[in-house]
This record gives sequence, structure tokens and C-alpha cells, in this order.
Amino acid sequence: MSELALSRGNWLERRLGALGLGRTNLNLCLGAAIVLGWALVALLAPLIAPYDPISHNLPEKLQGPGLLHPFGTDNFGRDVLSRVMHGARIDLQMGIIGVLFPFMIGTTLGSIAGYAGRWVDIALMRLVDVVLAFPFLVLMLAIIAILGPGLVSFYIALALVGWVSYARLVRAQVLVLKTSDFVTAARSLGFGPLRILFRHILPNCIAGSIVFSMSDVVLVVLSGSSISYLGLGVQPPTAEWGVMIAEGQNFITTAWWITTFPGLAIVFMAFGFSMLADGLAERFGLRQR
Amino acid sequence: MSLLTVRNLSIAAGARTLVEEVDLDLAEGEVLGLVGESGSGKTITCRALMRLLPPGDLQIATGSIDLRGRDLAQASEADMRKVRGVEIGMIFQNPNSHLDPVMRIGDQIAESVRYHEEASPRDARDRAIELLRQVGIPDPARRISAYPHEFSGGMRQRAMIAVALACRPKILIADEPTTALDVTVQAQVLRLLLDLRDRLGLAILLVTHNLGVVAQTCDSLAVMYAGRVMERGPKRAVLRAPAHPYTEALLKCQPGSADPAELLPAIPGQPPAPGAFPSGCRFHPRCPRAASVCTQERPVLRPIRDQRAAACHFAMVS
Repeated sequence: MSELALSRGNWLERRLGALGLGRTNLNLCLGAAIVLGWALVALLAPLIAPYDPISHNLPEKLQGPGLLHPFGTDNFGRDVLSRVMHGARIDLQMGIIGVLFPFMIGTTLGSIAGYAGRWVDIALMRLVDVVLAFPFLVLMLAIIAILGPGLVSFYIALALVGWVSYARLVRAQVLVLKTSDFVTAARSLGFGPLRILFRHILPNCIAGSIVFSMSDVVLVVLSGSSISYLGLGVQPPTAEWGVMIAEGQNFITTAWWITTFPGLAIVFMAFGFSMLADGLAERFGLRQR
Repeated sequence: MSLLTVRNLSIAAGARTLVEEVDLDLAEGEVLGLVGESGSGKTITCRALMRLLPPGDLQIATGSIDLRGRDLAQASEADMRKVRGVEIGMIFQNPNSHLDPVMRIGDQIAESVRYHEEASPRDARDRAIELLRQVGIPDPARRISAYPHEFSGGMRQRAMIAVALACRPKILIADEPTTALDVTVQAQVLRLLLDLRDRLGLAILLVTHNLGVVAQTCDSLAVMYAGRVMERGPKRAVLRAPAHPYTEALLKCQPGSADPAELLPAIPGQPPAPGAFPSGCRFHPRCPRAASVCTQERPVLRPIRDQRAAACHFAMVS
């Protein structure tokens, strides 16, 4: 069995196996490493960033990447590397908070809809349809425009819009599981509906939502950046990757580094979270390799 | 004294009646076998006793289920929750799918103890270990933290029995508890059930399609066909001299009852589909003794000799 499993692994996994890492889940490890790396950068940004991310230094403006400024400087002479590092704090926070609330709301409402059935299900799912009828970004923009620009509005808008994916995902699985044998067995032990739903059904279907939430982080960071780019999210001069790209776009022909490095940072963080999602899916056995 | 008395129980889905006029008596310490082909209504009858009929329009149409003076057929859902697991435990055919895959075995046993008896986590854990020991799982103190997938099929069935008995119910409904197991493990699980009956005074309703299982374990049996009880009585008497042609035919189909070199005889024809039951006696299209009266008049389950009852026009009354 283990031989068979080993022989199916790819070259890199076999090398890792030879190094004594066993049958490592490559996606999971690499994804976790990238995400942890970003978390460290975010945590230590004030200590490791070489320059202040906000104060202007006009004599050194628009310098290309070099020894003093590895990522160059922007039109106010601010060090792009330092701003990318500080931006990680905002963007990571955005990714986590922006997923946590939709996750909790969506999972709860979705499982209630699936388990209760009847009019509860109909009502909640029609609400989902209403939310889904609007294009995601347009609805976000509308809600933020009403609440006023800023991160808090962004989180509220995400919570109002983003829960629907989780609700649909969880509802579908609850529908399957609620007639499953072990749920019948739990009912034969005299448990009430809340206990059956939250102790027996949810733990069995939460894995899919967790995996989805990891890829959702990517979407949230991207939409956060686009909202900031449109001027409705994080406000300048705060360092945030979307804001940086927005500010740098006027100089894209003469100073490519102002937009490229924060763009790469977004890509790299997204990459880490998607690998983590893939690795978790594999770990939870949701996907056959 | 009868612990559980079922009278005139009928279960219907809309206009179709799936189970009709079933009478059962289960006394303390008794093992009652409920026998019949697939689709004869055994499982639905069991589910109805727990009021756990599968969702849909299945419901108890008439009849009473008397448990120590209370009629479970009329009980509220809240009352039923205090009966399930506490007074009546239930185990199922397939232990692989009836245990929660992401919950430790010990937690699954302890859960109902904590839920129904509000026991402390410590006491519940001790009870879980004790129960696993009782059902014959070696090294129970370590095994309580295993997940179901770490157990073999036979051990899972034992674990499921432990879960069902966690709150010390007096009645255990076992819905084909050995069908999914291989033959050697089957015998062990049956022996365990009998052992538990002796030690705990458990009354067991054993659903099976295997007369061999009945012969090994039961005190009495009820034979169901097409949703009706065809014959019931003490095991020995019924198996030795079946009064109903259906029981007789079932017995002839058992391995060991005929010449080993011959193919086993089969009952000709198919059991009728629910809703398309034949008139008169439901067994008459397949019955070797069928006469014209059988096609018109439905025989009632009437007492014949030795505390037995049979629903056949030709059953001898002594």
C-alpha cells in the first residue's frame, strides 16, 4: 500500500521522502510556508522594513531598483519594499477578516436552511438568489458607497455579499448528510436537532468550506485591492497593495517598479493561499489525486 | 410481563399501506426474531417503534406501541427523544455508515450519557471504557480515542452496540445486525447480544432475513410477508412444525435443510410490491396450498396450538 502510494508521488515528493520528510503533502507545506512567510513579514514589518512607508523623501523620488532601494522608490520618494511589507499587514488582515465573517454567517445560515428545510430553506435560498443576482463587485461598491469608504465598510459589505457562497456550499452538503445513516443513528439516540446539526452534520461537511475559504482569501484580497484601487477601500497614504498600484499607474511607462512589485506581492500571496487550499483538500481527502 | 406491546400497527405512505395490522410482544430478557424477505416491512416496523420513519409521507396510520403504559405511537417528538437511546436502543445493519466518521468512538458513546444523564465528562468517559469492555473490545481505555475507520467491521459493530447501550436501555432493536459482517464475526456478535441479554436483562428485537440466525439466538419469532405478520410463536415450535406455508417455504430454502448436492429450492415468483398487494391472502400467488378461499378472504392472525398464531385458512387449530 505505502509502496504503491509512494510510487505515485511525483519526483519532488519522492526526493522529499528520501530526505526523511515522509510522504509530505507538498501543496500543503509550500502553501503554509508562503502564508506563514507573509504573516511574519506583516508582523515584523515595523522592524524589518528599511524605510518609513509613509513619510515623503522627494529628493529620492522615482529611483529604479538598486542597492539602497531594492524595489525602487515611488513618486514621493517612498521605498516600495517598505511599503510592500507594510501593505502585507493590511492585505493579510483583509484576507482573514474578510473571509471569517462570511464563513461564519454562511455556514450557519446554510446549515440551518439545509437542515430545517421547508419555508426556512425557501426563504434563505431566495435571499441567496437575490444577492447572487447582482454582480459581486457592483453590489460591493453600492454597499460601500452607502456606508462611506474605508476598511470597515469593506468588511461589512463582504459579510453581506460573501456569505452566499458558503451558505450554498454547506446547504448542499447538509441536505446529503441529513438523511445519512449516522444521522439516523444519532436520532436513534434521542439527540435534538441542534446537537445533530452542529455536533454531527457540520463537522462532517466543514472541510469543503475550509478549503473554499482558502481560495476565497485570494478573491477577497483581490477585491480588496480593486476596491482600494477604485478609491473606496484603504485610503492613501496608507500602504496597501491595491492603493500602491492605483498610485503608480500614472508612472507605469517611466517607473514600472511602483506597480509591479505590489502586483507581484498580490500574486504571491494568492499563490500561497491557493496552494494551501489544494493541500487541505488533499489532506481532507476531498480530491483524488 | 410484556415490556413492549405493539397492537394493530399499520404504516402507510399516502394511500399505500406498507405494513398492516402488526402485533408484537416483547418481554424482559426475550429475544424476538422478526423474519422476512427484503421489502416485507421489517425495517419500517422497527423504525416506526422508534418513531424514526424515513422522511417523506410515511407515517403510522393506526395502532398502538405500548411501552410501560405509554403509547409511543401518540407520543410527542420531545417525549420520543427521552425514549430513544434511554429506553430503547437501536443498532443498524451497516456499522460502517452508522457511526459518525469524524468523532472518536469514546466520545460517541459518552455523548448520549452526557446528554441524557448530564454526567460529568469523567463519568461519561469511564462509562465508555466500561461499555467497550462489556462488548469485548480489547484495551478499551486506549481504544476510546480511536476513530471508526481505525476499527474492523466486527469491532465497529461492537462499538455501535456500545453506543446504543450507553444509557442502559432495557430494549434493543437490532436491525439486521450481522448482515454486513462475515460469517465468523456474525457468530461472535450474536453471542455478544445473547451475553448482554443475560447480563443486563435486555429485551432484543432482532430483525433478520436469516432463519439460521433466528435458530441460534431467538426465543420466539414473528414471520412477516408483504407487510403482514404471517405467523408468530415460540421459536422451537415454529421452526419444528411451521403452521403457515410461507414459513415452511422459507425453511426449505435454508442451506442444510435439503440434500447438499442439490440446488436449494426457491419460492417461485416475486414478493408483491407495496400498493399492489394481491387480494385475500397476500401469499396466495406463491402458495402451494392456495385454494379459492385464499384469493378472496384475507386470513386473520388467529391463535392455534402452543401460544402460536398463524394467518392461514388451513392452519390447524388444536
